[in-house]
Amino acid sequence: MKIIRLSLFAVALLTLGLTACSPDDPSNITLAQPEGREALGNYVALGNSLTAGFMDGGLIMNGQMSSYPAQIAGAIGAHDFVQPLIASPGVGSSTPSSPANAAGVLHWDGSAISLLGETPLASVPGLLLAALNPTPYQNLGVPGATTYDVSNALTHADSQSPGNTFFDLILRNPDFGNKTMLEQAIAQGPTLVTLWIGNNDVLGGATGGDPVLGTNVTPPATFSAMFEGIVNALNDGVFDRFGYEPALVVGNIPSITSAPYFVPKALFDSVVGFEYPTDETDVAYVRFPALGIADGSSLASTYTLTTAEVAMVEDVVVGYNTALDTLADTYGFTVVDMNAELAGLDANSRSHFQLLLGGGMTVEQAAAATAFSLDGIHPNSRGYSVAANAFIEGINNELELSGEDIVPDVDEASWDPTYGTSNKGAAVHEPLQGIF
Amino acid sequence: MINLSTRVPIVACSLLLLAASAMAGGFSIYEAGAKATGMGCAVTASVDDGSAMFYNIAGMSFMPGTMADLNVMPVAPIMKYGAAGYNAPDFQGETVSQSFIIPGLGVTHNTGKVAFGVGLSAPFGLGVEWDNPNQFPGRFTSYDVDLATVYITPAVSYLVTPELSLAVGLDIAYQHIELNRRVGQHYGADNQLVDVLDVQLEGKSDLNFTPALGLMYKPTPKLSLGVMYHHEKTMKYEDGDGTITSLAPDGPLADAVAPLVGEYALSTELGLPHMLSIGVGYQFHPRLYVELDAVHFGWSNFDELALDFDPDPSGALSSVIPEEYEDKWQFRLGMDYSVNDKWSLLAGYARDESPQPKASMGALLPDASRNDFSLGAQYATGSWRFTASYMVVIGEARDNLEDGRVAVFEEEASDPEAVWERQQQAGEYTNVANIWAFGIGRQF
Repeated sequence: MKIIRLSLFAVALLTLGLTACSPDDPSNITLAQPEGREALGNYVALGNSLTAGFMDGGLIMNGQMSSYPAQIAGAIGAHDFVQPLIASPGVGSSTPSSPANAAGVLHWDGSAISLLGETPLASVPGLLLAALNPTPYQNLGVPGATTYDVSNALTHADSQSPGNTFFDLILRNPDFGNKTMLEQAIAQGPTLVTLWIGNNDVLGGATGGDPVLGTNVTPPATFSAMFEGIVNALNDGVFDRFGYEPALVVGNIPSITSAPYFVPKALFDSVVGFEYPTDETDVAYVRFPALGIADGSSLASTYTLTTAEVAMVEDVVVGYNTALDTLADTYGFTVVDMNAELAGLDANSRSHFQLLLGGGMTVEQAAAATAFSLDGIHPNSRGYSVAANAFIEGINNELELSGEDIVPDVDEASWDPTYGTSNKGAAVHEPLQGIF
Repeated sequence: MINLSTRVPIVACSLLLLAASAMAGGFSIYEAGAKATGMGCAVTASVDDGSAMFYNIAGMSFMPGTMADLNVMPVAPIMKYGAAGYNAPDFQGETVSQSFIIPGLGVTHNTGKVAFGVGLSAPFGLGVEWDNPNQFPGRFTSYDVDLATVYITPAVSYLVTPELSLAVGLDIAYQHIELNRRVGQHYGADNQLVDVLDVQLEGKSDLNFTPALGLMYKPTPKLSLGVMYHHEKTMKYEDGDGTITSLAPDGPLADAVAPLVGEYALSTELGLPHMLSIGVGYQFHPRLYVELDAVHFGWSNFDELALDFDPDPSGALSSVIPEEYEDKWQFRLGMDYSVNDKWSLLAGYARDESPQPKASMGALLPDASRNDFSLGAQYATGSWRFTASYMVVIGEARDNLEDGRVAVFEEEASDPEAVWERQQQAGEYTNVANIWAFGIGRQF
């Protein structure tokens, strides 16, 4: 009997050995959605020149380093936030001395606004310091981009501002994979997105002096539909690929009258010393570049905005912002009231550097007083700090951050309109024109 | 502790195909003999064969004459991985089916008052090779690792009284490690993750010498007590090899990684824990012996893994990987039932708490607390003993998340690359190991 029992035991042991156990299949467990400070972990900025850090009529790393996304990135600790930094003299939208060159940014040369320099067109790509960055930039703001461009433009050729090579510099298509600004953002799996777009949909007409709704000004209904498309594509795209939706903070559209680029006619007349003649009647604003050509001859309509034109543009801005508020209610994103922020700046902040100099300030005093750069429509470093803090408030609200989690405000950045040089620079040919 | 700077090839180790897998907490392997394995390795107070050179060298004083034991223990570990994701991803992975041989060898001679012997064991090892290395998300930490550790322990035991013996020994350790991993790079406007480098690290440690101490006390014919201590070690690798090859497709990526491709010298250190085992056994019946052991592992000695590449002018290759293991106790229960003069039946159970913090869990070693169950039988005839045992080590399902987020060490939290690497291996792991143990022993 013992032999039988032992044999059975041996068989049992052998059977155990031959039928080796295997582990259960593990569960596919679900990660908690990014929320709170965790949602600060992967920040991507979308927009136009205001997002890109466009300053003094162009992109240059001096300005880009104080773009509002860069300042936000610093505040939230996003040390790997990569921008398409551009080396001196930058790439500007002014007219160069030669068609073979690209203009650099503007600077104050001690007596006038002039180009910091120019670059042969063939050498412009070499100015892009992070050209070999293997992934899309975290700051995807493209100067000149419209709402349509965010989800449609691949290169300068198919943007709404044909010839705008900033699309090529920043999106790096076609060699980089032919992805739009929005697609490049989605591919990064952002947990936090700031989006400030629509300014060029209305400014494109205003800065040309002849805004026409539906022609060079995007109607609010069209803007609303395109913006909703961006929000849907962003949320769906990130969710489909990564399984979460990003937190979204949106800047609304400032009034064109907040920028010193649009000089009230009365102020313009006081600067030139007499009631300046214009082709149009009932002129409300004169574009700042007109000061450079004010030789007494009547200003063409491209330099002036009539009261009716301003009213139309302002109605469009109100329409855009109403649409953003409605979409925010629907999709749950936060709107930052940049319209109110810029309108709330004091008079000196909303004045042009050159006018402040004319008012008796020193270069240093004027640089510290104004929030706008030499081109008159884009903020300077200080102005971008104002924008950054407005967005930071929106981020804190969107992510419901409190206590130690709150993202702190940034200190106001300083701006040097001389770019540290007394170089007279090249003359500005038809200054302050072009892309915004 | 003494370390020799001379790298010594241990021929015996390679002959035994010594690669193993973690069978106990961390990467310890507590199986050193077939009989012990059948008893859940609860033999500190009673070991009576060649495995005494590992379980309790003081046991030599209670063993007759000259004895020799050879044990081979094939091990087949299986690990499975289910990825964690925000949107219930469906990636499932598992390790390649493979078996390793754990050796156990002991020769002892008892002169009466003094006994001496030498043994070979493999108390630490790891063998984790993930299937489908081109897709396995944790490949950027490891897709194939082999770690083998050999202890050769000469010892002498002294019978202080007929009931008490004290012993001292020397654990001479040698280790071999091979680690294969990938380096990934997101690339292009679509941010695709591309494997750009394959990194193979291989090293042979210096010899390491540390003391071992044993005590066995049999105050009554039925009661037996035992204590065994193996000191902690720091295994030093001073002349390892690092080989980096490019996997990048031709173009900018290949150009970017080209400067990294090549051969490197590699040095590192690997901390091994002390092992302190305390056992108490009792002969409840002339045929039934039961023993309970508590084993303390000083795993806090394995707090980091520093990899130093040479050359590494930019510092991009060298790294310090925090591990921060914690000291843990194991509890082991074993039974030996003598059916007759020839046959004995063995059974055991062990509870083994994992020393590995969640932030260290991943592709390299997804450790978990375990329950071990064992059965065995021994047949003795004349001067010969034959033993066969089976143990199943069942790891608890464990994930490396905390509050729904991948666990990371505090010092890694501000390092995006380190956090990303942890995220790539976030998920739930399950594991089981099957151990068969065969022993043959003879008294001369």
